[in-house]
Amino acid sequence: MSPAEIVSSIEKPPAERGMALIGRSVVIKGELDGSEDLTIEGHVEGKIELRDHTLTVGQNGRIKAQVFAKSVVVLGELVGNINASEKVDIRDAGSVDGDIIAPRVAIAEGAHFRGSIDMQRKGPVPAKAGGPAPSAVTVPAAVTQLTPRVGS
Amino acid sequence: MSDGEDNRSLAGWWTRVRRAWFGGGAQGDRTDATFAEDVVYTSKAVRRLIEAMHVFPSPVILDLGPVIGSNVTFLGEHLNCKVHLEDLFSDIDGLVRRSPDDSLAPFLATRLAQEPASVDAVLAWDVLDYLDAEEAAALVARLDRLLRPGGLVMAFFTTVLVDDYAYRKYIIEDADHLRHRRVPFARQPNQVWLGGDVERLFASMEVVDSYLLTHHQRETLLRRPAVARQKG
Repeated sequence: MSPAEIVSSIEKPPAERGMALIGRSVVIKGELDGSEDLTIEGHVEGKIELRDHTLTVGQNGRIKAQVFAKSVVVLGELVGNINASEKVDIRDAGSVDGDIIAPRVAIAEGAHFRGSIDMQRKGPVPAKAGGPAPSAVTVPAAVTQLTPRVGS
Repeated sequence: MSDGEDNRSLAGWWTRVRRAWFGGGAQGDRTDATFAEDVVYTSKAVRRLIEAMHVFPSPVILDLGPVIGSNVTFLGEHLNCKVHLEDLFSDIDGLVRRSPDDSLAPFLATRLAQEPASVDAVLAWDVLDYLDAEEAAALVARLDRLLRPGGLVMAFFTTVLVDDYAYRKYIIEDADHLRHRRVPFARQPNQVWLGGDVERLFASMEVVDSYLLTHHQRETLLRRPAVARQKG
């Protein structure tokens, strides 16, 4: 696939990309179980299980549920606990109220989060206190260079 | 020299001595300076805290500052930890704007709902600078209750009072540097906590390290001893 085709496919709506989509006008109360990636733009209340797949809460999505998934991307609102085996990504307009269990969590500047984040992994963790902090918020290089660094 | 400081009086002399010894202004000795908008400064306490936390296999950390995604990522990658994010600044801002004259002590005495002795480290940042003595005592009592024996508190204290209704977000750049980012706030720093004041405030804990830095801030690490200390 050429770069142009990749960009074009990303810009398509989820349904056209072969992903399941719950539209803006849909309200679901109960248990939602799936074996494919899912984007929610509507309202879901209850429990969502996508064990090996990605849940995307779209900008219009309003979720009040316990979520189990491989990855969770939040651009809308999610109230409830999230258990992700890979990653949780709260984007800049996203909002999460609840506890997160995931090995990797990214919270963009401007995102809302209230709760706890459990990133505890099994097995030994390498000590690397000197390394740079990986950042969920990308700082433009020009800004970084202009900022004074004051020694103490 | 600040306005109103008396060169000849004993109080004026003591103010200058305190500033020379402790690097700061005394209470009420407010400068007309404001916080810088966005500057990276050296930090000593962050690395020390990370190193100290390695004795805990999966530490539980309580962050009293605003939610900063890159800090969460940093802590997760370095400490294999669980982080409770309790943005006290947001709560204080809301409460003070609604009721500017009310003490925050009752709120702070009950705000943190974690189980007793369930936390290994508290990132208090400089929240204590914005509290009066009664409010600070209420918060510290709460922290003392939440900390496990051997648990640590990282707290920053200004050594100069600025005239600025703002607080600072502390963004971890790496283990040796913090980005200080100014954020408008309902309160300005309330007082300068000198070394002895900090020891009295945290009477149940011991000061592990205290770093007086050139950007008018003291970074302090305190530990809750395995055996409770007598207050006094």
